[in-house]
Amino acid sequence: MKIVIFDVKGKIAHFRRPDTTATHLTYPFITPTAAKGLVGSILGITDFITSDKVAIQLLHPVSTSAQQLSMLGKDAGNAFNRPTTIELLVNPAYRIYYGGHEYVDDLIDRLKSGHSVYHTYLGVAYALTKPELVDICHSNEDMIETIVQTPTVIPTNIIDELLLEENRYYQRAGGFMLEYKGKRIFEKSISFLYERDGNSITFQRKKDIEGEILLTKVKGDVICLV
Amino acid sequence: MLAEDIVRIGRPIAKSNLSNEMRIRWLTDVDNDVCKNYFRNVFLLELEEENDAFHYLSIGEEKDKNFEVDRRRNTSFPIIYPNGGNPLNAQGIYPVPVYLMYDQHIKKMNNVEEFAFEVVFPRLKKTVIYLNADDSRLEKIAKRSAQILSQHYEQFIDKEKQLGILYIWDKTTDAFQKLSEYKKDKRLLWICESKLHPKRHLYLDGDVALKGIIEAKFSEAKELGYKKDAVSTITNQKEDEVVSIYNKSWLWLSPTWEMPRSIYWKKNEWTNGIKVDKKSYESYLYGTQFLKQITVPISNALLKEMFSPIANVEAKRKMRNTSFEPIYGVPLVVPLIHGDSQQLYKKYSQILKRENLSNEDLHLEILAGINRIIPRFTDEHRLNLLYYSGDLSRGNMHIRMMLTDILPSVAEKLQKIVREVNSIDLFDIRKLFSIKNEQPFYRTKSLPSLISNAFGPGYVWSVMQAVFHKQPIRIRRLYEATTRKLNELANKEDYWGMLDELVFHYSFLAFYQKYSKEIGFKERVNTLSDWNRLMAKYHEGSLTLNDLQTSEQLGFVSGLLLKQFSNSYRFKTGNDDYVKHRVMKFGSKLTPDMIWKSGVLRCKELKEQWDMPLASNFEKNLGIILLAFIEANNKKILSNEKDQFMTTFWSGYLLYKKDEKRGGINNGNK
Repeated sequence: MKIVIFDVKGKIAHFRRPDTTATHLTYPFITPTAAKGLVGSILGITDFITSDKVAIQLLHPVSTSAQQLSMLGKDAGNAFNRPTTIELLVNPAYRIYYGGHEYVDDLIDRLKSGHSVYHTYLGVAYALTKPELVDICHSNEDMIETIVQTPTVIPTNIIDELLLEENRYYQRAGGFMLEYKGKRIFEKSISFLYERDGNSITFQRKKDIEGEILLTKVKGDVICLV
Repeated sequence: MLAEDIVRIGRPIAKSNLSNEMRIRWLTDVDNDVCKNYFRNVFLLELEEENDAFHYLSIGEEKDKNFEVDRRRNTSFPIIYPNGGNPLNAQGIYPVPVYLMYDQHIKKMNNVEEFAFEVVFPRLKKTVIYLNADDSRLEKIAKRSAQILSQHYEQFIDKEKQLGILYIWDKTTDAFQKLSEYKKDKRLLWICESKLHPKRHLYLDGDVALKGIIEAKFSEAKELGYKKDAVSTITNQKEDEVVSIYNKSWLWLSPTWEMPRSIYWKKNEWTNGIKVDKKSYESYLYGTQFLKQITVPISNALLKEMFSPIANVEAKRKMRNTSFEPIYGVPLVVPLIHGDSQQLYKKYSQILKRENLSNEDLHLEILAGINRIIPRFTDEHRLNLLYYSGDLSRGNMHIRMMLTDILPSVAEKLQKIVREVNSIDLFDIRKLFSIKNEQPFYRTKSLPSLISNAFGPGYVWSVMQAVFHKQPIRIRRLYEATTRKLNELANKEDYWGMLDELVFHYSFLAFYQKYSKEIGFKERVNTLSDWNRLMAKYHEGSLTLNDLQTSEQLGFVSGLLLKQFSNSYRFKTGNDDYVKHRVMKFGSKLTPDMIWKSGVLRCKELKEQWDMPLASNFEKNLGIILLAFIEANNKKILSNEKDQFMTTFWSGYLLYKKDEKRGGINNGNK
């Protein structure tokens, strides 16, 4: 499988958790659906549905800040200002591994030329970012090791046992939407384990890993594609 | 995701051996204070095949003009209070034929036709245990009920506004039983003694009621979206039925604000987002109830500590405890990866009942200002603290901060540090400043208070986040704030206020020292023993230039020196304090430069002029201090680190006491 690696960075980001209404909470890092949506934006596909997969690596520690915004409108059409609290991610930076058989080549062309059809942002339109191509490689899909060390975030349901290391701060982020079906319809959820400062995580993987998740090697590193 | 966390919290509770009575208590509004007056008038209709009887009950008693519901009996009357909509109409789904009656309903109970077909019948149609019953049967029950009520109308009707509960005890359904004995049963809930068969008793079957309650809540959620044979977002499995998670059971997900709803979804298509199966929804309901019960407001006194301005003493004093918008805190403990066992349920019960708790448990009052105690959890769990303000009942809530993924062991260590600061360091610091007050010091009592007083309200959340995640913190702001306040208080000659500020300053430094050591952060701050050592050297007159390499050290000994000189100056001249009289100008901001040039540099000249009998250590120290000032000035320490200098200057100044061993007069302290 061909994998394209690119970085996205910004001053702020906000990946809206769908389970709060008046208050806007954010996931602690870019969601797989947002990462795929970013690719759709680069390619110019408005309702981007794909079977390609992404793996996410944190390049900066997770840091958040709650701010108040004045937003317009409760319902569409009835415009009035109301204060809304929003949780923002501060100094986010991610390495995205994008792999699959559908859009990788198109994406490589776009990233190489530094062109994007729509503007690219980190969750909200005011958190602009410019994806930077890092590398293009092929993955070896055969993974036989049971003890795995990975720089990417890992779905909790493939962990049999976590091998704790000194000075690592493991955190869990639950309830990410997993599949995008088009027209803003989502299905299934996934929870991730990540290391706060973006350090690698070592774990013993489960023998049977579900179809949506793929552990694979890229340039000596194991990455976890979802 | 919060909803997922709530399901994870609720799952052990749903799976637990919680009694029916407790489950009903959790899932219905029987204990809701808003509903207490409905229990004043309970119209219980005992219906058998042929016979019927009317009971007019009051479940509770009047106490001091307040009606108190009898908590031993109220679970037999599982009412659900409607959230929104017109309550006069049949709303949502009813688990069993127990309906809230409003004044308009009660007043028309003498009108059989109207009451039967406008009030009772629509409700029966929406009752879980009658869902499969045909209309003719329901019409009969409705009419029969209305007739009974009309016959006894005079017995209960009142001119005053009345609220009540209509209870149709229908023997033909499996929800009710009649037994010849009065007993307390895990399953059966006693209602009252039968009138048709005296000495026999009426019961509600808890299992049936509970099933109905879950069904009722699930059906209520269907209004915002419902799908058959769809994948549940929580289990990722195909389930028979799924509903939208957005509803009013947990007002954080109240759809009053439609923000997460995509413009592509119709009003009843919220299932395009998060959808849950019945089991997960049940867990979710228990989870929300649990969170409602452990949510507590932060005390007004602490809010004042957290959100008052810190750079101005007067401004803080003028703040009222009630000037702050209430903030609520919710602690959530969830497993890091797996595990929602009975173990968890036990711990949750401990949190609610507040029993079997020890000092080693997490006292969130100390750590987070939330008056709850969390029993010991291993580091395979994470503590999340959620703070919000706003009116939840209107679905208008504003999150203030969500402190996520706190390791229980880190929280435990922080708790230990805060306790040590309050029990040991505070005592030592007060002793050093000769303060006899042994009252608890509110500013250091809890972590939010400590942090806010040091960094200011704008930084309280971010620093709390850093501290809970064992990240380094910088204390420049502490020095800045302390210096400002000391300067303000010095101008007002409020020396007690200054001492108070310094006690807090050194208490925070004690916290900082311990915290830095704990996280392995290399930066070290001077502790009390360092200052005691420097003070001893000062009294001996054995200071060297090496002792005065930092702005803090130089500031401290300058404070000692000027106080010693000031004591003698006052005695000799009869004038006021030396610093106030000669160094500070009215309303001015004292700076290291002023201390050096207008204070220390002039000591020698004034000493000769007034022939002051200062102790021998004074001359020795003065020479070294003057040299140290020149060196510090060359290194630009005096301007770059003025806050550190000034804080320790006032510390030295207020700490200085004559050295008893060397006698009063010689020490310049007559």
